[in-house]
Amino acid sequence: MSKHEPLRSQFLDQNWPIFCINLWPLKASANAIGSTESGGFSISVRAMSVFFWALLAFSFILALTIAILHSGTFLAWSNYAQIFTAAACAVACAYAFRFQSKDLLLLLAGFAFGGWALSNVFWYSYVAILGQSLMYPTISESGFLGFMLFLAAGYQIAFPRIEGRGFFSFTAAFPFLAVPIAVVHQMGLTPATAVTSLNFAIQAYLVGICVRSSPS
Amino acid sequence: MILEFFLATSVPLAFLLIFLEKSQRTLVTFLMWGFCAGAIVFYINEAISAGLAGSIITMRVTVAPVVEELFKALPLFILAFLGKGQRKDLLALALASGFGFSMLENYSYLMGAELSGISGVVYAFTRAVTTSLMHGSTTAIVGYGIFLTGGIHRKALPALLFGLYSIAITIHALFNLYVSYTAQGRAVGAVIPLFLFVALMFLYNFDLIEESNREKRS
Repeated sequence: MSKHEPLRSQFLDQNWPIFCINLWPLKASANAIGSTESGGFSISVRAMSVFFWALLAFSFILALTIAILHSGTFLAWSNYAQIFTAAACAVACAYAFRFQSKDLLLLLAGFAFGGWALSNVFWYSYVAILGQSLMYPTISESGFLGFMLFLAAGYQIAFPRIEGRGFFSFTAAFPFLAVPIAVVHQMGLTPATAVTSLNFAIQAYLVGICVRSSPS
Repeated sequence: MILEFFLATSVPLAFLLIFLEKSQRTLVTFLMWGFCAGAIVFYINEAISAGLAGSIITMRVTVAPVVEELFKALPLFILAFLGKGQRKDLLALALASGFGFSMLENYSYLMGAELSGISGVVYAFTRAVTTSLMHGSTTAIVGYGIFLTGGIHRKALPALLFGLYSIAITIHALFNLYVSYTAQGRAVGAVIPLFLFVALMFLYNFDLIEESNREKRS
């Protein structure tokens, strides 16, 4: 048994659907690690682990400096860290897909992280270049929506659907649809309300998939 | 003049199709679709631009990428839904669609710029190695993404296609933002399409080389 087997079992045997949103990237990563010919961590995977632990430590330290740093400086550093982390995750997933395991989940995770990073780069570039706030909705929304959709696609692949949970998945998803209905009723159908509605509809879709699937 | 240019380029290609083999015909068809998409998008963008009352920023960095990437990648979406996304040449087909689109767009920009002499040549060449590569590469990202995830469960396909589409429109919007609104950004904007094209070329040939080696070994 691989030394990582207990970790895989711990995550994959949980039955709490809400936490499953975070599980399939871990499952994909565990599959990638388990599928290496050496039977364990390769040097590249070790290096990636160290790198991401360092990123986590930086984020923790940055969070602690919130009371010290100027708000603009803190915001800038946290935004750069967010973009860099998302881009690094995309590269790591692409590398793992290419050289470790042909697990489709890794590819979907890479696309999700890459889209998130691109959307944030566009957002900050827009503000920096044009000197004005980003008017909602913009192209950035597509990347954020795409992130959730890649997540949903990965979830549909990773976890099997449980028969008989259709009613529960609809019940869980329905509250997310109440917001767009209220927004459109109040403000009418505009590009902003349409994108907001789409945002909540995709979240409802994701919750519905999570509820009707099993992590085991 | 867009419609005239579209007809002047597409009709001869349509005659050429008669003499082509299957894969060649598919490639030229995608190129013709690029011309067609360029013509359609030209009129759609004009109509939307009139409705936005001359908001050029919104047009360039929000509306244009959304509309253009949708029409360029439309045949790819259709192929994916028909379950034919595993074609090895899907990336090349996507490039053909994007380049066909950019050829028509280049023509409309050249006509509008009314340049002559060396400045016209420089403008045309600059567009060819930046904007055209960008159009081809963003469509190729969609095509290559469909190829890589071929065999994916059909229920996950809409989510995947939207995700790939969102990446394409974000890159397109970033390019428009950099080249249109900042002097230093033009250098960055010029590098992005070249980088994307070289990366796609490398990945495409890497996969083919590996597959060829695997076939030889087996």
